Amino acid sequence: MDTSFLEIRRVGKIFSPHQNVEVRALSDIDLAIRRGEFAVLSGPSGSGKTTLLNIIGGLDSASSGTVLLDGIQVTDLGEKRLSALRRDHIGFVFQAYNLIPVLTARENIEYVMRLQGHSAAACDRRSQEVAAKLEIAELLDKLPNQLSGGQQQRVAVARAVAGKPKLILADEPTANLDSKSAANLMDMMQQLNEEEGITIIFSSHDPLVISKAKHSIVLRDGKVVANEHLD
Amino acid sequence: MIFIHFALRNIRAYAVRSLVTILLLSLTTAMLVFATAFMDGSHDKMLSNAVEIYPGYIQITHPDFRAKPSLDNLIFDVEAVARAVAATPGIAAAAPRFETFVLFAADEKAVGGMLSGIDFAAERRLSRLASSRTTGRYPEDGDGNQLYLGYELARRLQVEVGDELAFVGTGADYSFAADNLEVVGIFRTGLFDFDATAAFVGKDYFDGVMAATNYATHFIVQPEDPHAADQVTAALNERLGRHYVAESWRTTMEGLVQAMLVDSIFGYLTLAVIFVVIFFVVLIYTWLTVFARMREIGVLRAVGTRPGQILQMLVAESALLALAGVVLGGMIGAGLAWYFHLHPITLAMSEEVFKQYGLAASSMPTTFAPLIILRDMAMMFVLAVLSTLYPIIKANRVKPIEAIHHV
Amino acid sequence: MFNVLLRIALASLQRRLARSLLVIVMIAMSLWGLLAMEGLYDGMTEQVIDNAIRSDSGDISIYGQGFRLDPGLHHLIDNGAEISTLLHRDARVKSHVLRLRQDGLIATAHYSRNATLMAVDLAAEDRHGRLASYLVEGDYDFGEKGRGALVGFRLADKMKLKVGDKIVLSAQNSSNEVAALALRVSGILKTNNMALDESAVYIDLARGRDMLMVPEGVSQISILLHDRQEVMAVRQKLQAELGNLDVRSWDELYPALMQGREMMAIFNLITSLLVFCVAGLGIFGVMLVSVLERLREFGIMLAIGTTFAEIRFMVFAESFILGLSGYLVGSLLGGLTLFYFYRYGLDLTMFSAGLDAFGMDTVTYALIRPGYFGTALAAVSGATLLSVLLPLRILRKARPMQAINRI
Ligand SMILES: Nc1ncnc2c1ncn2[C@@H]1O[C@H](COP(=O)(O)OP(=O)(O)O)[C@@H](O)[C@H]1O
Ligand SMILES: [Mg+2]
Repeated sequence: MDTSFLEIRRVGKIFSPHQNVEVRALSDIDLAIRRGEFAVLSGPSGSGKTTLLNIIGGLDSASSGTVLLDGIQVTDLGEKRLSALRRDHIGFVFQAYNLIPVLTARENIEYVMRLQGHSAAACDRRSQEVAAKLEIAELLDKLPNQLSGGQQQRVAVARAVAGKPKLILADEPTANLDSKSAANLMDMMQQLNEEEGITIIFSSHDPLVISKAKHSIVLRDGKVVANEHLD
Repeated sequence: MIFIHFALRNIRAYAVRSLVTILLLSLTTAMLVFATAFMDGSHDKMLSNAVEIYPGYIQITHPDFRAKPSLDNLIFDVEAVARAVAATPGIAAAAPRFETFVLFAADEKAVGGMLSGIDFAAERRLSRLASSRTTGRYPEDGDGNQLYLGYELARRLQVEVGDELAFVGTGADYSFAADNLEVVGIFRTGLFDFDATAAFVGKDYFDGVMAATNYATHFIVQPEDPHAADQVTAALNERLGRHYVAESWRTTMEGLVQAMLVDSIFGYLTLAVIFVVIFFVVLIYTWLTVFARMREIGVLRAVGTRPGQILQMLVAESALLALAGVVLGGMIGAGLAWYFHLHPITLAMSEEVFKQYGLAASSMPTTFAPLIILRDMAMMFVLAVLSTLYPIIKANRVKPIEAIHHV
Repeated sequence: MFNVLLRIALASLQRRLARSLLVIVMIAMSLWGLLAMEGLYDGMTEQVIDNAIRSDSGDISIYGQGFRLDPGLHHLIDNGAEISTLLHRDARVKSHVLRLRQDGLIATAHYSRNATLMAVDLAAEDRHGRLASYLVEGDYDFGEKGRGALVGFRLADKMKLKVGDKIVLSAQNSSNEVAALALRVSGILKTNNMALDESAVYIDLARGRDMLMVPEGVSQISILLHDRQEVMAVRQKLQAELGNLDVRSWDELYPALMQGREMMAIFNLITSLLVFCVAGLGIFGVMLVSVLERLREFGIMLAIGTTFAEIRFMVFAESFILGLSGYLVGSLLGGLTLFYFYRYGLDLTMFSAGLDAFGMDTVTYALIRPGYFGTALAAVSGATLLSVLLPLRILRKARPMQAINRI
């Protein structure tokens, strides 16, 4: 059984925004995610969803504990290795303003692939392919500020997917979208999860969105309060 | 004044801009104030040196003497001129001089030079000849053929105090004139050309050998207040009538006066290049802060603030910063000007430079002129506020809705 | 990959077009001013040096031992012809002339003055230092019988001499007797070498030899080289071969000019440094704001795998593009301005009296040295690179990835 794709062991996080002030954002989180899962982190605002996703993706460091991604100990890596890890193996989607404003949708999608060193032709092929799946083929030459919120998020997902990562982390990707766009985006992500076999972990506090997941993890005050597989 | 209040808040909020603006403006103002003080001071010093060493502030000559300095255009009635001078107020001292070119011959050497008959006692108040003495003594009237000789000329003639030399020249009546002279003193003013050509004997002796009694090439006049030289000159000219003309140093030393002007012009041009860049940077920083505040401006406009009021607020802010910078810089500049006024700058230039340009000063005091300093500060203030106007006006033109959505 | 980063850098500059243009204009203006100033000031300095070299010292001058301290006929070079052959054989020597010099007196019916007699070969002088180009009146010719004389313009002015006037020169000859020579002024020279303009009277070499009773010797051999860089090497070689003579380079003969050049270099350096520091401050402000306002953007880029090195490259690129654009525009404007003044000169005739006092020509031709543009490029690069160091540090400290979720 492949339980070791993503293993989170006793991860804790303490913020100290000022001297003498400590905020315990996460305490002793233990989780395991299997390859190809479509998992959701839910919980009220301030429960630690963003913090946990950031630690998994190496955007932030854990105060204690370890994160193992496909055998790599993320919590041990230096800044350079982390950059490479994110570039090659992890895709990110954030809540809003995901895109580089001066690049067109196509350039945004190809950005990670360019970083990875793919040829222009390969980038072009892949961006067409991904854009078709996300139904944004006609929008490729527009700049981010010419796109609606839902369209921007789809471009963001396309960019996350384009580099063929093992894992996509999406922090409240639908928070700024209306319910129709939100459902639409979730459907596409689900489809990508199935067709490309990419593991996706997203966070949300929208019940409609949460219901799409196969694996539900609920946080409260930095602790896992529920962890169940729904399939 | 809510706007002053706003302005003060923003000055604190955009500390980097405030600091850079004040810093640059004080630098600029200090530089301008000091450069002006230094240029004016050194030019004054060089001019007054050049004037006071020998040529004097005011000269009286025959009207045609400048154009044609011949023996036909002398002052032929020294007494009359002396009476006119005595009747003119504001004059500290005056005396006739008779300059002529002769060939000096020592044992080995013959060198051309300027032999002048002067009133040794009066010259103490008219020139720096007496204080420029290096060896021997300063002659007195009635000393006869005693010669007071320039340092470089003495060197070229290879004579020292006590030595004899002869001169050959032309008398005031075109007669052949020659006599033996005895060197009693040697002077060195620092004006190389002068030290290399000039030699003096008493006017009474000179008049005898040169047949020049009651004649002079010119009269030298020292006004009580050198700054009033032009007024005294005008007064003299009124009294002298058509037979003689008085000219101030501005005319007689025109070349040097203009040279100082040229020097100032180039100095200010160089400063201008630096200032253009500085004011550009002030403009850029204003631009940055004003546009960083675009949304805020939009909100203010949206709640009904008139563009004119926003303009007032932003200009008040620039003006306060400019004032701070200019006052700080003015104080620094004035302090430097004051200090170097009391402790003149000694330029690390070799004597050669001064020799080359016929100057005789190496210690340069700056001027300390509060009015000029205030003028420079006011100018910098106006320029500083002007340089912030463009971004302010530009930002104020943006429509409220665009301002609110400004990213 | 770098393409994408460059593309983002460019697009970011474009997004704030007005601001970017301001910075570019600022850099261009400062460069323009600096280049124009540097080229013109160097032009002035070199012109003065060039005049001294062409009219008198050459790149190197040879004098008899002791002549410079005690210029006279008993310190002459006896083996002029021999040295001539030696110089002809040296490929580095472009030309040389022999001069015979003696101090004396110039007199007209009305005046007399000290003068320096320069007995020369006019044709050789013109081939050597283009002496004819200094002629301002009359002919560059001593006439068929060699009875003409060329007079320095200041001397001519003081003596009120015109072309055609009769003059009498007198000086000591080699047997210490005063010899005289009657000549006519055939031309007036303005070399702007003050010593010469003040006192030189050029006469025919053969006549001069007769008058001074010097059949062989010369006072000075002035040498011009093909390449001024070789002055020290040639001087050393000549000094070694002509041990008993006094071999001097131009800067030893005119130390004030060398010092003036050095002072000008220092002055230019300080001005440039100041301008580039201020300009750097301007770039710094813009880059700081530009980095801070894109914190989120950088956060996203870092999050999706961009390394900080790549971000740094991008920020450097942005700053450098600004600098380079400003450099190109400024160099173009500065270059064109200099070219104009190189070609047509800066005419300062209105200040001619002042310029004469400095020994400067009334028309200044700018210099254009490739070095100006090289140094400017280095300075602009330096300023742009240095000015982003702090913004980059601040960017790193700001932890842009943490800014992603802050809206
Ligand atoms: N940079 C930070 N500094 C201090 N406290 C933080 C920081 N980021 C998050 N926190 C705190 O950590 C807790 C978890 O925050 P977060 O992970 O953002 O929750 P969620 O994403 O579930 O809303 C909150 O109490 C929050 O205030
Ligand atoms: Mg969150």
